[in-house]
Amino acid sequence: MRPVNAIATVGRAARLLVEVLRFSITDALSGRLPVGELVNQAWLLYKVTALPAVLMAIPFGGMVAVQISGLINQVGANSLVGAASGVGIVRQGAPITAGLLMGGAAASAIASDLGARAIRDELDALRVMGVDPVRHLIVPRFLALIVLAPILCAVIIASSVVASFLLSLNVSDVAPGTYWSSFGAFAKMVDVWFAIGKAVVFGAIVGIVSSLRGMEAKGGPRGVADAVSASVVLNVTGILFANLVITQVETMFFPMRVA
Amino acid sequence: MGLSATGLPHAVPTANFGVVLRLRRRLDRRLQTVGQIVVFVAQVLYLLPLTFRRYRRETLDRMIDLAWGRGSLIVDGGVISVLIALGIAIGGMVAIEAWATLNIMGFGALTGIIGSLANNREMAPLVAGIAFAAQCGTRMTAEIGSMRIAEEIDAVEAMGLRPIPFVVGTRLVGGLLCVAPGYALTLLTSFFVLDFVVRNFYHAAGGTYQHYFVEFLTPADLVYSTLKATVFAAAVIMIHCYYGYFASGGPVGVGQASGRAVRASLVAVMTLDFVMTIILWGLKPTFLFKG
Repeated sequence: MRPVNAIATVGRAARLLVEVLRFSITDALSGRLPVGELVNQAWLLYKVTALPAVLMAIPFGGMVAVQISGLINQVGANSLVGAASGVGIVRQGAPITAGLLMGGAAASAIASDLGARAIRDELDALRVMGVDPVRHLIVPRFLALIVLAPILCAVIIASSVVASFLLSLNVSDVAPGTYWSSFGAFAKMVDVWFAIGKAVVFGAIVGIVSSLRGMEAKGGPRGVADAVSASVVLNVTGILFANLVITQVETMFFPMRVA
Repeated sequence: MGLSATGLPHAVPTANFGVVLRLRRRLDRRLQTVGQIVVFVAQVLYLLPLTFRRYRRETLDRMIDLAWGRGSLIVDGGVISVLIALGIAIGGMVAIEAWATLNIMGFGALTGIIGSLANNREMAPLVAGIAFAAQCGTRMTAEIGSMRIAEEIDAVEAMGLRPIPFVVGTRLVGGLLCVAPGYALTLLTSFFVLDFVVRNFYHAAGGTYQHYFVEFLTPADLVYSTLKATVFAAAVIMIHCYYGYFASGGPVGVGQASGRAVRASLVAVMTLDFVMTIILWGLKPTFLFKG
């Protein structure tokens, strides 16, 4: 029964989320959080995502600047290029790019690691020894993603805004002051907070989905590879739909205003 | 310092020589990787006619598998359902953002312009590339990678089939056959969602919206955007097959190859998008307002 299975998977994911949150809070309060492992994981995930983040952010910023300035120059309002870059990059481009990198690169690192442990029955061995794999393996990875998400988002915002600024300066002949004043008029601090919040939500989705898929891997090497594929595609779809929902919430409660 | 047979002192390397050697080794490895990629891509392309001639049935099988998967929607599914799902997400996102930005200036109905330009030129091709990477790509790395470490690729060769056209070529052709119909579905879904949101949720004037939407949706742009999606899909399939074909290191190795492939293909899709935007529309795209 396919629909029943799908609902069961959602249920297991929800239970995993609750468990992860419970352990994160209680262990943080009692000071038993595996901080060393958390820092290790965060550094590992940062290493696999930071360079591609910059490499994706620069062309994205450039693309936004080129397309928007072409359209806006036509109606003679090229002071609005900064505004459009602000909206395009800060509100949508940066959090989605961060999410895709976490959902692609970080997710495969997590799912292949946990999946290999699952097919070698290491997770069962841990359980036999009275060590909860959720508490000792998944919580540090989940928290590492939560720590990583804002950093990645900030890296992407910075590099793609710089790229779009340089391009509109040199190609579309926008004055630097004009760019920044219209950028500031449209992009607010609220947008940056929402971008970071979005990235954190995406990080949480990625953490839960890839850990669940990795832990449930079975059937040898092919099982690990399938777990990775499944977690990547689930992450990408989940991230884009979560983005839709958060964007709608943002425009409902913080409608855009010109300063 | 001893003397060599010729009576001259031995050349003693300085302490920094190790750094030079390490750098050289690293550069060598980089160059080897580049060479491997070039040879791989060249072989796949050169042997494409062979794929068409000999492995037609396998190509069709691959195409059906890539399009529909094992019949579920997302996990183990095909690329078509993911393309439709992402089309819905992207259409909704563009509608919300464009309306929110333009409506403060009282140009709400101009969302039609953003809908036809941003969706058609950038967003839809980008999500098509991402969908291919996430669904088809990771599946290919998984399949080919586990074939490699289970020595099935060597077995294919032993059976007298040429592994590159049989394993990679069929997937490339099969994937590209899904692009045009799948991409059309994404584009149509995103247009439909956009239209629905703007007219029914925001109660925009339908005629004004339609006017601007249709005015900026030129046939040339549609062809270019399909071209973009095709190039992205081809690049993504090549990258994922490459990482799968040369996977090593057991079960974890295949998973890690998948991760590296996704990273490489996301960067490739973004970079190709920027390059193709400039090639197709120029550094300063011009738009004609006909009134």
